[in-house]
Amino acid sequence: MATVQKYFDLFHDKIKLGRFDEEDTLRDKRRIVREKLLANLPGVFEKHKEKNLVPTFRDQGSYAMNTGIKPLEGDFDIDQGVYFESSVTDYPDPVVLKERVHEALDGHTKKVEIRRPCVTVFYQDGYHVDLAVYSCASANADKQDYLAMGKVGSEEKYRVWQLSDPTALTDKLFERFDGDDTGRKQYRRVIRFMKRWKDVNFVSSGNGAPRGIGLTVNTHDYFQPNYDATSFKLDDLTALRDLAQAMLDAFTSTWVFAEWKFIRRLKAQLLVTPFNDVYEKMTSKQMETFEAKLQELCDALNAAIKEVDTRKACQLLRNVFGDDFDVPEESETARPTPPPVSTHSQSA
Amino acid sequence: MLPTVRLRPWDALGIIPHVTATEGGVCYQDAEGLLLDQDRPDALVNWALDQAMAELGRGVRGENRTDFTEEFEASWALLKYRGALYNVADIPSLARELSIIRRTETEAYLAEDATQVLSFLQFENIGKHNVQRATFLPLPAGTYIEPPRPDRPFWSTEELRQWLAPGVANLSNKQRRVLLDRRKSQHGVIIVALPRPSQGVALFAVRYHSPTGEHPLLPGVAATLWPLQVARRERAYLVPRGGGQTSLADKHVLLIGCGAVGGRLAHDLVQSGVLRLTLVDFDLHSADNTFRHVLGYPRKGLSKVEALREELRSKYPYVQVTTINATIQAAHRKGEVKWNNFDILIAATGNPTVELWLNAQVHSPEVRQSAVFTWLEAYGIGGHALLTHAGKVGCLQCLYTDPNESQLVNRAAFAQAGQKFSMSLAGCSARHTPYGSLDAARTAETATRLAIRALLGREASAPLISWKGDPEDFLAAGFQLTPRYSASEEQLSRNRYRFHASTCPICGPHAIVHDA
Repeated sequence: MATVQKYFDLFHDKIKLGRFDEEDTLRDKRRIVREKLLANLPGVFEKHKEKNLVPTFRDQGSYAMNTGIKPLEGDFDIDQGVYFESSVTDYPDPVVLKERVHEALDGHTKKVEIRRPCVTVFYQDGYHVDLAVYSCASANADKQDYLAMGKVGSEEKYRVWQLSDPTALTDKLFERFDGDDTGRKQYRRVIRFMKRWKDVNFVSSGNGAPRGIGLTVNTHDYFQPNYDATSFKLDDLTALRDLAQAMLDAFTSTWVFAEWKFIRRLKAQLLVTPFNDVYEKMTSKQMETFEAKLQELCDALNAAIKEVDTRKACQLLRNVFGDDFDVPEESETARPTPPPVSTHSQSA
Repeated sequence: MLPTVRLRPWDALGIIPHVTATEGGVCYQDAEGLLLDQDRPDALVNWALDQAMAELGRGVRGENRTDFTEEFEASWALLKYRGALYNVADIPSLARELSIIRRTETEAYLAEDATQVLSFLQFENIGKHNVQRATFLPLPAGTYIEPPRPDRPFWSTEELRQWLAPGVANLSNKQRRVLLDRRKSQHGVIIVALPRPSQGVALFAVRYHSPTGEHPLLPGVAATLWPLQVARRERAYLVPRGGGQTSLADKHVLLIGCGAVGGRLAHDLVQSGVLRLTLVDFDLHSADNTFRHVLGYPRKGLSKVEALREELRSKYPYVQVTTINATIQAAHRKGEVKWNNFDILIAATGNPTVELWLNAQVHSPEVRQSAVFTWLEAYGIGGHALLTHAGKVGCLQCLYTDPNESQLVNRAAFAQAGQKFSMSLAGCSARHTPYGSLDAARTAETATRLAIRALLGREASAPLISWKGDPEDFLAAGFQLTPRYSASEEQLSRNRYRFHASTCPICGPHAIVHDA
């Protein structure tokens, strides 16, 4: 096995979207959106002769989980939860509240659009902020958070308050690693590697690609930490190979009447309400592609494990992870016989 | 301080336990481990009186009579006696003769022989002294003796024989002949061991003058008696036990490396009750190390092993230290150390090259040995102790076995490989690695605890125990830490048995395996 861990470290440094130290722009956008909402909402509510509601904000998604990666096309996004102290009965139609948010931000940027699960604020420079609008637990009789679903003009059955607890999801996704900081660190890295693999290997639009949250759930379900118990040095290559193999093994065949054939599918079931399969919208054809690409990934990882030459191993990895995965110059890989001495830090 | 309760006159209720003779102080409660509510002095006084009354009540009803036996030495100490005996003999279980070795008017030892006094005093020669015989008489368990009253004349010969009768009755005919009948001496001492109900014995002594030269324990003999106090200085009394009834006193440790860590280790071992050490080091104790070596300044320029031996002997009775002023390789080559002659090996050389050699020795055929390797890292970022057992997996070489490393790199290290730490105080001749005395002490403590667990048979596996220190100075000096340093202490502890490398050339499957 070649020693490629160093190149995984470099790769990870390149793709990682830091939460605190990097991507100030994202933080700025988040701050600006928050400020705009707080400034404009009172006027909007007044205009509609409704009680003024002051929202609170919570980070969500990969930003909150610290599993974000830099997008290939430069379309950075950030997820924000916008929580209103009003019950689901105060606003029976959730779209109304989304419209208020829309109105408060409209004209502020290039485009603000109400989408089914959120209100999206698009910026000129390729950034966007997804605002998920919530009726918060303290206002509801059952003390649960509800997410406003639906868009303007959608049928009534699609305009619903959906039970949703993204904080609980984050907790559930990470509770496996309580007490294992090293395992948790590798888990985040592997999620990032899988997401970049997806960006590189799938066309981004629609349901053609497995969603990032789906890969995150898969990683939660099938990843096993792989590091030296003494030196705590990570072995990302083996961990990724084992994950890819476990995901492949989890594909199951089901008979689909409509297509009159067996279809192989992988599930990514949410760990919290509504417990749905994140991949449910993917078509049979898309699933087929998913499995095939996953098999390619697994084959490449296996080949890299067998490869003794670091340069060749990195080339194999670059093929599946894209150009951000460095391949060393020939000279770096050539291993002369090491000197017979090394320094140490020991005394007694 | 607890309120004092006195009974006046002290013998108003007869002679009962927990009332000090003549003073009348009532010992109603052991003050150790008590927290007093200082804001309620009245309640404290009431409580004290209740406790004292209850204790006196038990005394009057005879319920706590055995407490006399329990506290016998304390009662005996109240008697007016002239001179004391220091007992350095292991207390025998059968009646026999012991020696009283008197060096000066006030310094007398109760011992097996002069050698025993020497091992206590840590002198090379006993010097001028005289020897007197003493009769040691153990009493059977359950024997009751009422302590003599300090305000009355001491026991008569009749009373002496009456109280010690159970011990005399236990003597075999031969013992009686040898110890009493044939004993002709006007002056002598009787040493009595009275079993305490809880544990151990109370020791007291009686000096006698018998005008006829006959032993005062024989019926009808009249003698003058004086009480003598016995100060407990015997090994079993002074030396701490390792745990339960297991004694570490006879365990023999080979300590290789007597630097800052080794010097502490030697002290920690002795203070834990390990009394036999063989020290190996080739080095001299340098003045540069004054503040981080346990030897300090006075013994500068001396051989480390000799200086450490003197240091230990000056502080601790009974410790036996052998010194080898050489490298461990030379000592081994010359046959001065044989691995199997010890109960455990401890290496604190700070030299991984030597220690890997030593590790291979421990795991070579014919060797049945356990070893602790211990070292600390630069700037006090941490320290380690690793235990290995011959013929079992998990050894020092495992730490250097890593398929992903081309060079020898220690997997347990907190400092990133490839950095150089030694600093020079005054040029090449005086290089040393920066760390403090407290770091050495903590490392030594870690290693001592591990070694003692192994000596007591409580650690049959091979653990690697690491402690993490403050990295501030290390980082400020521009050095890099390893991922291992980022692991929590809990993770390090959880993984302590998992450092074994399956491809280890010393203890792995390809190594020469022999029965454990």
